[in-house]
Amino acid sequence: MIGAIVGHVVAHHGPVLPVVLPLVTGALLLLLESTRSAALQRWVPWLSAAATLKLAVVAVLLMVRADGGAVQPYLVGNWPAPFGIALALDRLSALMVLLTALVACGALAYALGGTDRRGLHFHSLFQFQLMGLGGAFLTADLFNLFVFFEVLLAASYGLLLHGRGAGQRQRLQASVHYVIFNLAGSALFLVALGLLYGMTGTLNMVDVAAKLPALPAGDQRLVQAAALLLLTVFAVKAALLPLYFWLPDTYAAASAPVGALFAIMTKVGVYAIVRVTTLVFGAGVAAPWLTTLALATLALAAIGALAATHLRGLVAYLVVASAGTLLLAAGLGTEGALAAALFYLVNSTLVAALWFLLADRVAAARGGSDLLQPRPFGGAWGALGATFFVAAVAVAGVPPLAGFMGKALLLQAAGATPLAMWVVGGVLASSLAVMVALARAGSTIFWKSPHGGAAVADGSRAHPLAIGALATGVLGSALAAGPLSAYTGAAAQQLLQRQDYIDAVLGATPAPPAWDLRREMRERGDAK
Amino acid sequence: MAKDRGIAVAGGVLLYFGLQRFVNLHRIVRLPGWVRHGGRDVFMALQTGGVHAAQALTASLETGSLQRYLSLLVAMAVCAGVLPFLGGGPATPMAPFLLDEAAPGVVVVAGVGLLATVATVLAHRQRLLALVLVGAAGLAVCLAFVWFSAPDLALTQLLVEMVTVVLILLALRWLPAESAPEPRRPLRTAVHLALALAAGLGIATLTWAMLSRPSVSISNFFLANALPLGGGSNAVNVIIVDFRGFDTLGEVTVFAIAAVVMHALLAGFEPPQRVVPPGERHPLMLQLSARLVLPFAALISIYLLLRGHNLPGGGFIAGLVLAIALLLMQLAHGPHWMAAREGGRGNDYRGWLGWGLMIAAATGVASWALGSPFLTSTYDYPWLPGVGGVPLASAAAFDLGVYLVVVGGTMVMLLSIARLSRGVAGAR
Amino acid sequence: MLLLLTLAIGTLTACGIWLLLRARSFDAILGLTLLSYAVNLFIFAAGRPRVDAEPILSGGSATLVTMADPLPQALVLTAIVIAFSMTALLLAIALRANAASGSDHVDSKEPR
Repeated sequence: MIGAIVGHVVAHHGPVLPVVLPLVTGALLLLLESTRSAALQRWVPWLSAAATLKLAVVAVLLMVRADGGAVQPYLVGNWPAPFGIALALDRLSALMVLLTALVACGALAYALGGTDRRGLHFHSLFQFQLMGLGGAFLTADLFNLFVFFEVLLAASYGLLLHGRGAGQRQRLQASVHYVIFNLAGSALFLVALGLLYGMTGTLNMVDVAAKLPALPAGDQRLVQAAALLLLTVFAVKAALLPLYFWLPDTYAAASAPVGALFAIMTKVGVYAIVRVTTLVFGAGVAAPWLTTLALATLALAAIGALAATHLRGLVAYLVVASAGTLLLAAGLGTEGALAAALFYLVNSTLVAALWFLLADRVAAARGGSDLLQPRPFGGAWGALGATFFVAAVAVAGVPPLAGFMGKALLLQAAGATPLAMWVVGGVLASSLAVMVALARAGSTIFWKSPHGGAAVADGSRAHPLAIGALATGVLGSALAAGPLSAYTGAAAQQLLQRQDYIDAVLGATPAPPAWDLRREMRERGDAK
Repeated sequence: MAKDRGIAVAGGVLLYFGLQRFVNLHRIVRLPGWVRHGGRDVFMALQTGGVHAAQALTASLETGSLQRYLSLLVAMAVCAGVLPFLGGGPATPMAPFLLDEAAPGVVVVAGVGLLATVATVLAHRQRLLALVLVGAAGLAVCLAFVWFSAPDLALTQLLVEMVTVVLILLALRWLPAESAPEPRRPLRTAVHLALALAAGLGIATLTWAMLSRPSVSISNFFLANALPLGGGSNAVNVIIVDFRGFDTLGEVTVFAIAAVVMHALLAGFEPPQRVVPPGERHPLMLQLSARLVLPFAALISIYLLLRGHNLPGGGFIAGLVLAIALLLMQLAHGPHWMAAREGGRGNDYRGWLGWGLMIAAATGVASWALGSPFLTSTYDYPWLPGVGGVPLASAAAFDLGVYLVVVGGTMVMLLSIARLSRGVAGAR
Repeated sequence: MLLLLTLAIGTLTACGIWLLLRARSFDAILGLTLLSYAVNLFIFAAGRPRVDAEPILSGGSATLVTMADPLPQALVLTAIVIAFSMTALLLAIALRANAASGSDHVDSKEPR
C-alpha cells in the first residue's frame, strides 16, 4: 500500500520531488531544532540522514527514467508553460541531481561524526541547500533559476558560517567576502533577467529560445548583452577567471562536510552555463571568450595549486582547476567535447568532495595542522596514505582512474577544433603541475614527517565511513566508465538537439484533475 | 578494456614485489654518478624555482582585497554589456527621449530622491546620516511605485524600508558610528569612479533601449485569467501565490534561511560591553502607544492578508505590518522587558518559520491527492451557517503560510540583534 | 517621466557601486541597498510602466492596453523580499566579523 503510493508519487511527481522532499524535511527539522526538548532534538540527525538517503533513491529512479530518452516536463501549479513555472527532467538534470544526492550522503555521513553539533541548525540548513540545488538543476524558468540560486546561496552562507570554536574567525572573514561578492552577482542576475524580459516578454527558457530568432536584428544585440551578463553571473559561481578569487579562501575556511557539499556548488555554475548556451542562446554567444578564460583559469589554478602552503588551499585550487577544465570543454561546443565535460564532471565532483573530507582527516592526524611542512603524524598512516594516493591519482587525471578517461575524452574531442593545440597543451601542462603539487604535498605529509605525533582524538566511525563511501564512488565511476560514458554521450546529444526539450516543455498540457473544481466553480457561479 | 588495464596493473605490481624478494632491483639500475646526483639536483632546483615563481604570481593575483575582486566583477559586467554593441552590424534603434508631461510634484520627489542618493555617497562616512539619506531614497522609490500604478510594490517597499532602517539602526550600536578615513590612493579611487559611472551609464542606456520598444509580454494571459481561473482581481497577488507560486515558495525559504542563520550567528554572541550614555530612557508614552497600536495593527494585518487576493495586500505586506507592531512593543519596553520574556516560549519565533513553511508546502502537496501537480490551486465556497457561501481559495492557505514565515522571520531577525542590548549597563 | 526613471536607475546604480567598492562592510550594505533599488526599478521598467494604468482587475476586458503589467511587479516583489533577507544576514555577519577582528574593513584588517 505504502509502496504503491510512493511509486505513484515518484512516477507522476518525480521531477518536483528533489525540491519538495528537502523542503518538507528542512521545515520539520527547523521545528524540531527550535524546541527545547532534548528528546525531540535527538531525532534531527536521523531524520536528516533518512531524508538524504531517500533523495538518493529518488535520484536514481529519476536517472533511470531520464535514460529512456524522453524529456519529462512538469507543470508546477498546473499552468501551461510559459505562463506557469515548468520543470524539465532530461539526462543532464537527472545526472546533476544524482551527483548532488551522492555527495550529500557522503558529506552528511561525515558531518554526523561531530561537525553538526558545533553550531545551531546544521541539518535544516543542509536540507535547504539540497532543495536549492535540486530546484536549480530541474527548473526550466529563468526567474525560478534565480530564486533557487538564492536559496542555495543563502543556505551556503549559513553552512559556511556554521560552527563555533576553531577556525570561526577565519570563517567570518571568508564569509564577508563570499556574501558581498555573491550579492553583487545576484544584483547582476536580476539586471540580466529584467533586460531579457523587457526584450522577449517571457521568463521561460524554452519560450525565450523559441522567440529569439523572431526578434529584429537590432534587438538581437540587446538580447546578446543580456546573455553575456547572465553568463557573467554564472561564471561567478563556476569560478571562472577573473571571478574565482573568492573561492580558495572561502573553501579553505569551510568545515569539511560543508566543503564537500561545496564541491557541487561550483558545478551549478557550470550546469547553468551549459544549459543556457545549449538551450537558449547557442554556444556562439560567448565563443572565443569562454574557452580563453577557461584556459587561463586552468593555468592559474594549476599554478595556485603549486603555490599552496596548506592542504585545504591546495584542494580549493584543484576545484578551480576542474571548473576550468569543464568550462573549457563546454566552451568548445562540439558534442564530443560536451560529452567529455559531463563525464569529467561526475568524477571531479566526487573526487573534490573526497578531498575535502580527506584533508580534514589528515589535518586531524597531524594535530590539527594542514600546513604543507613536515609535522609529526599520528593516526592511521596507512589508510590515510592509501586514500591520499587514490584521490591524487583520480584528481590529477592519471590512468587508470576516471579522471584520466575524462581528460582523454576531452583531448580527443578538442583535436577536431581549431583550438586543439592550446587545449591539449593547457590540459597536459596543468595536469603535470597538479601532479607535482600533489606529489610534493603527499611526500611532505606522509614520508618526510616523523610518526607518532599527537592526533586530534576522534572516536567517530562516521568519518572513515564517509570517506570510504566517497572513495568507493570514485573507484566506481572508473569501473563503470563504459555505461557512464554512454550516458554522458547520450546526454550531450540530447542537449544539442534542443528541439525535443522545447517541444516537451511548450507542448505539455496541464493535467485534468481528478475532480475539476474550477469547472464546477464556473458552473456554480453561472447558476447563481 | 577495464579488464586489460586491471591485468596490466596487477601484473606489474606482482612482478615488482615478486622480483624484489630475490634481487634488489634498485641496485641493478646503475646510472653514472653525474646523472644520479646532478639530475636530481637539476630537478629539485627546477621544482623549487617553479614553486617560488608560482607563489609570487599567486600572491600578486590573490591580494585578499575584496575591492579588487569586486572591481573585476563590475569591469567584467560592463564589458559583457558593451561587447555586443562593438563592431559593425545592424544598429539598435532608440526612441528619441519622450520628455512627456511630468507633474511638478513628481519632479520634486524624483529630484529629492536623486539628491539623497548622491548625498549618501558624499556623506557616507557619517553612518547615521547616510542611513537616513538611503531611507529618503527608498521613500522616493516607493512613491515612484505609487505613481506608476503598483500599489502592492509601494506597500512592500515602504514596509521593507522601515524594517531595514530599524535593523540597521539596531546594528549601528555595535559598529563604529563613523567610517575611518580611507588612505589616499588617487589612482584606485579614479578607477572605482570610472567603473561606477560606466555601470550607471550602461544600465541607464539599457533602460532607455528597453523603453524604446513596445512590450511583447505574456502578461495578457495573466490579466485575462486571474479573475476567472485564479479567483482574484489583484493580478499581482494571483501571480505570486498561484501562477508563479513556486517562486514564492523559494522566496519564503530564503527569508526563513536568513532568519535562521542570523539567529545561529548571534544567539551565543556577547558583544563587547558598551556603556549607554545616561539619558537613554524608554518613554512611557511610547510604551503606552505601542500597547494601543498592537491590537489595531493585528486587525489591519489580518484584513490585509484576507483581502490580498482582490485588493492590494497579501501575505508579505500583512506579515510585515504585524511584525513591525510587535517590534515596536519590544523596543518600547526596552531590553530588560525583552530579557524577562526570553526564557519562555514567547520570544522564540522560529516555530512560526517552521510552521509557515510546512503549511505552504502542505498546500502544494495536497494537490497531489487530487491528481494535480504540486501547488495547483483550487477554490471552493464552503457553506458557513449564517454567513452563506464564503469564497475560499487554497491560495489563501498558501498565503497564510507565507504570512507566518514573514512574521516569524522578521521577528527572529530583529530580535536576534535587539537582544544584544539586553546586557547593556545603564539601560532601564 | 520615463526620463526621470532612467536617470534614477543610472544614479542609484552608480552610487550603489561606488559605495560597494568602498572597503567598509557598512558602506557595502548601503551600496547593496541602493543597488537593489536600482535593479528593482529596472525590472519594473521592463514592464513599460505608465501613469494611467489600472492595477486592479474590475471585470470586463483586461489587457496590457489598459492595465499595468503584473508580471514585473510580482518579480520585483520577490526581489525586494530576497534582497531584504540578504541585507539583514550581511548585517549580522558584519557585526560578528567586526567584533572578531576589531575592524569593520571588509578585508578584516585596517589598510596600511
